[in-house]
Amino acid sequence: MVRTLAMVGCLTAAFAFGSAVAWAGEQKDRGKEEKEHDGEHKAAHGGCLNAIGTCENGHAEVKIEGNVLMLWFVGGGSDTDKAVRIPDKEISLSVTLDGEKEAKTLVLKAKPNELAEEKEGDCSHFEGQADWLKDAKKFAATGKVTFKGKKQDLRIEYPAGYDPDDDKEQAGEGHSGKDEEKADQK
Amino acid sequence: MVVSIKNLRVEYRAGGDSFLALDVPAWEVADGEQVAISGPSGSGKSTLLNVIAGLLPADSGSVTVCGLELAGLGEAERDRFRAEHLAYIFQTFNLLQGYTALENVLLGATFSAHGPDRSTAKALLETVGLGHRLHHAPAELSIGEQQRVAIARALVKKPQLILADEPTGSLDPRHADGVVALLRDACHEHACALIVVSHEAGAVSAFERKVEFLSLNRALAEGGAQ
Amino acid sequence: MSFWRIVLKSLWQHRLSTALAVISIGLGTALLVSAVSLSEQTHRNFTQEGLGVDAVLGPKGSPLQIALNALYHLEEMPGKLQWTYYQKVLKSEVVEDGIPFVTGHSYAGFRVNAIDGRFFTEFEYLPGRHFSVKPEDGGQGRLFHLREEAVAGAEVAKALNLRLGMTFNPTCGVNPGDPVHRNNNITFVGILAPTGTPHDRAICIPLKTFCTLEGHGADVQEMAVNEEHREISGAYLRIRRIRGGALHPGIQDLKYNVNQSTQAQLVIPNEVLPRLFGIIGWVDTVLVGIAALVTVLALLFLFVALISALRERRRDLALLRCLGATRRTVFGLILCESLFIAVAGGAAGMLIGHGIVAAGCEMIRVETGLRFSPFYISQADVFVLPAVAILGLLAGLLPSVQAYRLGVLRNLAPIS
Repeated sequence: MVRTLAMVGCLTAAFAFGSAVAWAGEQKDRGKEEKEHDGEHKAAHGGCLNAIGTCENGHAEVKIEGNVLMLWFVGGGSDTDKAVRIPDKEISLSVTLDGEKEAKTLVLKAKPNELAEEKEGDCSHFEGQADWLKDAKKFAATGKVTFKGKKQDLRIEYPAGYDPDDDKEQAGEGHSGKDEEKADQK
Repeated sequence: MVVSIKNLRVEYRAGGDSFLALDVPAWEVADGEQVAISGPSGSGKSTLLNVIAGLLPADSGSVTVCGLELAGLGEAERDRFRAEHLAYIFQTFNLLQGYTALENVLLGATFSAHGPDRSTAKALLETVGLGHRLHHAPAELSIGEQQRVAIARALVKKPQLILADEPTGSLDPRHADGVVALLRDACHEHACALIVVSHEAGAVSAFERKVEFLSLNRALAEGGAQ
Repeated sequence: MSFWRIVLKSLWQHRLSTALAVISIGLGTALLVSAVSLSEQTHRNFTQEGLGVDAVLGPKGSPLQIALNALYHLEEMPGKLQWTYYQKVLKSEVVEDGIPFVTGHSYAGFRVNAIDGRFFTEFEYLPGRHFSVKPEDGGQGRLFHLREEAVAGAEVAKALNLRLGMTFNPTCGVNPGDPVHRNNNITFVGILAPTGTPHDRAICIPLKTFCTLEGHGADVQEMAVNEEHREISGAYLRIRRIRGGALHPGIQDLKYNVNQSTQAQLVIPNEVLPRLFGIIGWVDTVLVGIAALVTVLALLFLFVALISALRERRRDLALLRCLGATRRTVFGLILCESLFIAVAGGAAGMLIGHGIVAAGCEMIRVETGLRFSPFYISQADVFVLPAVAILGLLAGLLPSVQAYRLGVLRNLAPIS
């Protein structure tokens, strides 16, 4: 009886061991896949992603280096490493620095990616320069762009990025951050 | 005294029943003495030897062997007691089949404090007439030769007491006498006591002190031992 | 007659079951050691510093295909790259230099690559290691100067029994049955010293020789003189370094910019190849798991063998107790036997495993040019013996406990 139990126990241990190894491998891989495919989209240039309309529609990636604001229009969903060209030659942003009431205007000019045969009027990359950008740690900006053939609102939250799902969560908690910001900008 | 027994009682228990196997009020064996115990089969002779060897604990009474009170010893202590002081020879010799004659003899002293001595083992095998069969396995030895190896194994650790349970039981009469004589001479030479249990009259006849087990074990009179 | 002598005697006495147990444990550990060693070395080989290449500029297509073709001479390039585009990329501030090449030809089963001659003098195939044709390094001859000259990798020379001065005509393609360029008679002028990289399995000809191979149309031949029309398969790029030797961070921006193009792709080998292993890594895990299971089952066999042997040995163990062996001694005897068998099997398995790797190394070297070592110490080498020893102790535990609890008298069967 003891021997039989021991043998069954060893067989079970062997089976469990093999299953555990296989499961660990699967978990490792699944963990990797989940990391790559969950809601956290990667910004190709290390900037912050701001959804244009919805996350699936597209994003504006924003990065500041010194006194230069760089903006790239990229795809929606997980296509944040694919450029989306727009016909606009320049973009005017209304920028409200954190802690300030008055908005500043920043004009971004098209900076075509020559390696991708871009040109003005068919360009995904824009840059604007201003001295006050050097000390800009946090700001909100709005503007309008012709994105995927439609005039769309552009909303930038730097450095956190803008996700419309965050607004829905806040609305559900009983206050509309969006409404407050609109009032501030006015 | 090498063996001193007082009020020894041993009961066997089986399935809720118990029966008295040994009831020995008093018994002693002096240092170097050679004793033969005779009696019918099933009278408890082997049981007595097993108690003296520390293989079977007594239910009550005192058993002192080689100066040690066995009742107070734990299992490991009784193992060590056997390793140092006592040797046991069985009817069926119990040689380890995977070992040569020499290795079997060496095993006799392996577990004692001073360990086995190869030259002593060889000399003992010479003494028992097997100097030319040192490296033979038990299967290559005759029954009589195997028993002589067992005797050499018993003597190799220079015990104070040798117990022999029916040492001639598997031998033909011609060899039996020779083995008994060899055993007695060897024990005499090494000054160790010898207790031989046998139901054969021929095996016990040469001993000076003979004990009739029926008179020793009161349990037989009470109808206990079977 | 020592304790260990008794252990060895017992193992010898049951030598058939001992041998079977050692062999089965050995086979299991051999599988484990060889699977882990080959897996680790494969991973290392395919991810080692991108084989000296910081980035590969290639035509638009699968990054993995580009990396495999450019670095391992496997697969085919998914298209062609404009020379003018390559020149544009060279102007990027993060690019220090580039070595253009053209693939797509072969000879006797080996890839023939047309490449810029600076590949041999400026390119480090591994950190600090340049190609060599010096005899003391194992090379022969010299590098090519003229258009009708070629240099062969060490494995190519060995496989084809090449001698300097021999000529060949490359096949236009890499598949059997592809047409051969006739009358070119390109001469082998050099044999590279072994590098332990896939470059050992390639033949190199000058870049412009590609254009002038007989049979190529006028449009290809014009590429030799007209940069506007010139096409290449790709280019190895050397990226500028910053403090500490790290790649210039602008490489990611460059990659982004190039990859938005419709005609080109920038591939960073150190990003692509580890991802490949991340995908197929589970195959290794399952193989290793199977090998581990085989080992565990072998130890289970050991357990069963010990339990069975104990039945036959009860009398012997009882006799040893009678001779003065304590319970702990007989417990230790059985346990040590189990441990000995497990460790012997494990050690034998490690030797056999490295033997399997040695055999595999040769096959891999012949097929891919990659060098694997039978002496590579993998994680399995570090852990397998202790693990097998522990499992051996576990396998022997129950039989040892049974021996410990053995009844002496019951197994010596007294007769009166």
